[in-house]
Amino acid sequence: MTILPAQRSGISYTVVVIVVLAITALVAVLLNGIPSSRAQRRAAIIHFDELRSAEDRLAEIVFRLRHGDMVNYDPLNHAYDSVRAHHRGDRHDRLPGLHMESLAGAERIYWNNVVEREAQLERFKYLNAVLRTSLNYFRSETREQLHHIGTATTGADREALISVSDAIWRYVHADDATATKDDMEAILSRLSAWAKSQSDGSGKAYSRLLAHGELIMRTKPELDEVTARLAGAATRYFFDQYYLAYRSFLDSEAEYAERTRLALAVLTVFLLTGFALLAARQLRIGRRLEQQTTFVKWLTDHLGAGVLATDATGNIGFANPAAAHLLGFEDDQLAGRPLPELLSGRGDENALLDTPRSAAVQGIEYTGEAWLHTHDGTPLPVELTLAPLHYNDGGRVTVAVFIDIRGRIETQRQLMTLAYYDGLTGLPNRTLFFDRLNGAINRAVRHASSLAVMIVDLDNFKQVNDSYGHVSGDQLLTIVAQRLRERMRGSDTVCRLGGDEFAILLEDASNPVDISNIAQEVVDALSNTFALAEGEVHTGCSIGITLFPQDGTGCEDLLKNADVALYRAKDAGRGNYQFFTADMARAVVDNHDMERGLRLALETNEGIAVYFQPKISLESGLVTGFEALARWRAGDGSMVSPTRFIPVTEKSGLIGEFAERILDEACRSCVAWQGRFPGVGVAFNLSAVQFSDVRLPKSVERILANTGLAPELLELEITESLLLKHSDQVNQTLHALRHLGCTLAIDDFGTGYSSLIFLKRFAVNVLKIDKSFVEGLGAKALDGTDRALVAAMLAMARSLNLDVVAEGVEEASQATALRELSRGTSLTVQGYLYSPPLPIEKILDGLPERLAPLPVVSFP
Amino acid sequence: MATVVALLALGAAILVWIMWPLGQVSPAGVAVSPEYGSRGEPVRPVLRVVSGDQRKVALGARLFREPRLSGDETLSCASCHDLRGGGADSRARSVGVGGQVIPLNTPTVFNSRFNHRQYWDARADSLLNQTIATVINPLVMGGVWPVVIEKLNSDPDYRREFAALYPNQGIDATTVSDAIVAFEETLVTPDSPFDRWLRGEVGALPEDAQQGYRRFKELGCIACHQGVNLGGNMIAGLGLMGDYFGERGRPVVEADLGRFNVTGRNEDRHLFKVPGLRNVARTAPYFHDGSVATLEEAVDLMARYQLGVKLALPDRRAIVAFLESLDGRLPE
Repeated sequence: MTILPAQRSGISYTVVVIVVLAITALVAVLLNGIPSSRAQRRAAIIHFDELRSAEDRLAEIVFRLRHGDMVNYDPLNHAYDSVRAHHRGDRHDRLPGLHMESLAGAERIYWNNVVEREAQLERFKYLNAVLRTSLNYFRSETREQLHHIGTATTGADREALISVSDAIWRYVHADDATATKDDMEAILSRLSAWAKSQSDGSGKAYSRLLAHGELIMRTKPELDEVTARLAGAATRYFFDQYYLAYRSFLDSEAEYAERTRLALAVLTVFLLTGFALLAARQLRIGRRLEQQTTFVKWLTDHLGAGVLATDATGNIGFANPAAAHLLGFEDDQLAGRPLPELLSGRGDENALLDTPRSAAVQGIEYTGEAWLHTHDGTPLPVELTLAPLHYNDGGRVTVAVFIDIRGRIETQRQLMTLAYYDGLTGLPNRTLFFDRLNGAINRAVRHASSLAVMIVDLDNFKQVNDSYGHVSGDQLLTIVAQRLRERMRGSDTVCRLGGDEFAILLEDASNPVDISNIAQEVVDALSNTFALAEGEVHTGCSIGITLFPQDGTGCEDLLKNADVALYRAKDAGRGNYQFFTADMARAVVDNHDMERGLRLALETNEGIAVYFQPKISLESGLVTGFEALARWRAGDGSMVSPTRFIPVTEKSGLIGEFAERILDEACRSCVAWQGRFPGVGVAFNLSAVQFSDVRLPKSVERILANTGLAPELLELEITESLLLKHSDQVNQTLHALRHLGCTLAIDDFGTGYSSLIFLKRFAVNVLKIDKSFVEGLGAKALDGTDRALVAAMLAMARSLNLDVVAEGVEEASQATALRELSRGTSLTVQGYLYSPPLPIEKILDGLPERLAPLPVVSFP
Repeated sequence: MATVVALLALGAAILVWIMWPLGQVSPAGVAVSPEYGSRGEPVRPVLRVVSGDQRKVALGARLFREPRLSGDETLSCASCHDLRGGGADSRARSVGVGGQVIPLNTPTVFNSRFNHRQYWDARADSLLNQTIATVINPLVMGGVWPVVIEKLNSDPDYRREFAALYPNQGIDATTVSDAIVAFEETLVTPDSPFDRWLRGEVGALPEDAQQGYRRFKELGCIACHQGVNLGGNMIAGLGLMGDYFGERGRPVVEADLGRFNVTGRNEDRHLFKVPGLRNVARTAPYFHDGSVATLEEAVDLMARYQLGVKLALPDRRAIVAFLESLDGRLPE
C-alpha cells in the first residue's frame, strides 16, 4: 500500500527547457530554412564535382578536337551527354538550397546554356570536321605540289608554297583570327593567281587548294565562335556562377551547422549540469521522503488507533494494521474500498442525517462518535475524526482516525447500571424509579390515564437480618425481587427504593379492584416461605398504594403518600395493603401542625411541661422515686399525648433538644424535691433515636453538672429492643452512662427478646415490668400466664439482686396480686392506683410521704 | 533514479556525438574518363560482351519480329532490318506499310546502340524514341499504339512476359519499345579484323586494309567517320565539295533536305547524320537515298563530294579493303 498518494506534478523544468528549445529551433528554421542533411550536402558536392569534371572534359575534348589532337567525336558526345545527365532526373531535385532565388536563377541560366549548347555541339562537330579535312587536304596537297614543284618550279615558288601551308596552319590554330586574316587573304589571292597561271594539272590542284582555303576561311570564324560558345570562358562563366552561388549556400549551411554544433554543445553541458543538480536534489528529497515514509509507517504501525486514508479517487489507499485489525480485515483487504462504505451514523439509515458518511463524501471535517462496518458485519463503535487533506495541486484525500470505544461504552453501561439499578437485586433503583415515574406521569397526563404506585415493605426483614446475618438478608431481598418481578407485567416497573423497601409502578391502572388484586397477590407471594441457605424464614409485607392523579400530582407526593399508606398498613397489623385516603392526608397535616407547634413551644418555652408520677414501695407505701413524663399543651390549649408528639419530634429531629429540655427540667425538679423527699431520684425515658446520638453521655453529664443533681439519683430507662442492636455504639453509650454513675433501668421488660446477658454485662439496676403483664394480673386476668411470667421475672430479679418496678398498676386487685407474688422482696409499683403524674408544684406542696391506693381511678 | 542516470548517459552521448572529430568527409567520386581510342586511334573496337536482362532480350527479339506492331500486320522490325544480312534490307528504299516506298535507305540495326543520334536526320536522341516513333510512322509501319497494345494484350504469352518484366506498367509503347531496344542493344558485331588489329592482334588486319586505313585518315575521311561506329556521332552536309543533288540526276525530294526537316534552319539543309561504317560491305546500297549500289562507287562519290578529290585506284582499292575489314561477327 502506498503511504502517500501520487501527486500530480506541475510543469517541470525539463518541459520548460524542451519547449524553449523547440521554439528556438522553430525560429531558427524559419530564419534559415530547413538545414540540409549531410547526405544532401554530399550529393550536392558530388554533383558539382562531377558536373565540373564533365565540363572540364567537354572543354578539353572540344579544344583537343579543335586543334587536331583528337579526331574521335564519341568522347565529345559522351562528355556533353554527361553534362546534360546532371540536369536530368531526381538528383537535381535532391539538391538542397534550390528554394533560394539567387541559386535557382543561376542554376536556370546555366542549364539553359547547356541545352542551347547542343546545337553548338552539332555545329562544332561538322565545322571542325570540315576544317580539319580541309586543313588535312591542304597539307597533303601542298606536300604533293612541293613534290611536283620540286621538279618543275623555282625555289621561290617552293618557299611560297611552304609559307602558304604554314600560314594556313597558323590561321586555323590562331586564337585571334583577325590578326592572320589579312595574311590569309593574301595567300588566297596568291593561290588564285597560281591557279590561273598554271596550266592543267597544277592549275587544277591550285584551284582545289583555293577552294579548300576559301572553305577554311569561311569556316574558321564560325568554328571559333561555336567553339567559344561550346567550351569557352564565357560559357564556363555560367557554370562558375552556378557553382559559386551553390558554394556560398553550402558555406552558409556549414556555418549554420558550426553554430548549431556549438549551441548544442553548450546546451548539452547546461542540461547535463542541470540534470546532475536535479538528480542530486532528487536523491536528497528521495532519501528524506523515504525517512519520512518510514517514520509515518512506523508511527501508524504502532498506533493503537486505526488510521485510514483515501487516495485521489476517494477509495481507501492506506490502512494501518490497527485499522485492519479493528475492522476485522486482513492487512491488504481494505485497499480500494470506498471510505463512506465503512461509515454509518448511529444506525441511522437516512443518508442525509448520516453525518460521518456525508462528511466523508463531501470531504469536510468531522469529529464524533460513529459506527464502522466491520468485515463480519458487526458495527464497531468508534470515536472518529475525519480530516480532509487538500494538496496544493487540487488533489484531496481524507484521513480517518478512529479509536475503539467499546470499552468506554461498556463502562458507561456499567455506570448506568450502578446509577440506575440496584446492585443486589438488579432492579431499578430509586433514581431510575423516579425517572420512570416521571415518564409514566407525563404519559398518563397525555393520555388522560391513571397509574398506581405501591410501596412494599418487608415486615420482619430486620429480624431476619439480625438473626441470620446480612448474607441471608441479601438473599432474602434477592428472592423477594425475583418474586415481585415474576408477578409484574412487562410495562410495570419494580424497583428497590432501599433497604427492604420496594416500589411498584403500575401504568394504565385505574380500576381499584385490579390494583387490590395485584397488591393482594404481592402480599400472598411474599408471605410464602423463603428458603434461605441458613434455613427457611417467614416474612410478610405491607403495602401502601397511591393513585395518580387523585393522590398526588408529582413523584414526591405520590411516594410520600404511599409511605403514609404504608405506615397505616403497618399500624394495621402488617401483612396487608392500604390505599392512601383523605384521612391519612389529614393525619399528615396534623403531624405537620404538631411539629410546628412543638417548634414554637421549644422556642417560646411555653406549653411544654414535665409531670412526675410517683413510684411507691408496695410494702411501705413510701414514695421511692418519680418518673419524669413530658406533657405538651398545644396552641389550642388541648393536651397532646406523648405517644403522639414524641414520634413527631423524632421524625422532625426535634427529639434531641426536646429531650434535653425535659431532662434538665426533671433534674432541677429532683434537686428541688430533695427537701421534702431526700434521696428520692428521678427516672427518665431515653428513646431509641436519642440513644443513637453519640453526644448523649456528654449531654447528660453537662445537665447533671448544671443542675447539681447527684448522678445516682438519675435513673435512665431504656427499652429492651434498644439492646438488641448489640452495636458498639450502644455499648459505649451504656458504659459511659454507667460510668457517670446513673442508674439504668430496663423499660417494658419482657416484651422483646429479654436478654439476660445484657443484664449481666451492664449491671442494670432496675427492671420495669411492662404494664401489659400487669394488666394480666388481678380482675382482668384471662389465665395464669402473666402471673407466672411476673413471678418468674420477680424471682430472676431477686436472684440477680435487681430492683423491680411494676408499671401501670391501676386496680387494687393488681396491687394485691403483686403483693402476693413479691412476698419477701421489695417491689416498687407505679400507676394511677396510687397517683397520676403530677406537676412539680404539687409534689413540693403537700404530697404525702406515703401514698395509699386511691379509691377511685380517674384519668386526667 | 534509473531515469536520471539514463538521462545523464544520454546527455553525455549527445555531447560526445557533437564533439566527435568528423575527420575527412570522403570526397566526391571523380568520374573516370573512358578511354577513347586504342593504339591512339580515333576508333574504338566494338564491345565483345553486352549485358542485359536475357528474358527481356528474348521478349524484344520476339517483338522485333512481331508483325502485329504494324498497322496491317504485314511488317515487323525484321522486315527491313534483316538480321541475317547486314542488319538492313538490300533495297535502295524499303517498302513501308501498304506498299508505300519509304524515301530513305534503311540504316543497319547492328551497332545502332553506338550511334549518338538515330535516323538520317538525327531526330531521335535514343533508340527508345526511335522505336516508339517508327512503329507509328505512317510511311513505315503505320501502327497505332493503343491498337498495337490491345493486340499484344490479347496474346497471353505477351501478357505473362510483360507482367513479369514490367509489373507496374504492363504493355505500353514504352515497355514494348524498351524490350525491343534491349534486344537491339545486343545486336553488336565485335571482333572484326580491324577491331582485332586495334586490340593489338598482329596480322589481324591485311596489309592492304592497313594501307586503306592510313589513306582513310590521310584523305580526311576520318574527320567524320570516327568513333566506335566510324560515324553515327555527328551530322554533316552531303555535297560539301560538290553539288551532289544537282549531279545525282534525280529531283530533290523532301527527304533530301535532311536535318533541315527537323530544325528548319537553312544552314541545316542537306545535312545528314554521318552513317557508321561497321559492316558497310554488307549494307549496300548506300547513301540516304540508296542511290549507290556498290562500295567502290560510294567511296568514290564520298571522296568527290565531301573531300573534293578524285581517288586514285589504289587508294580506292585500299580503302575498300579497309572498309571490308570492318565486317564483324554477326549476332546469333
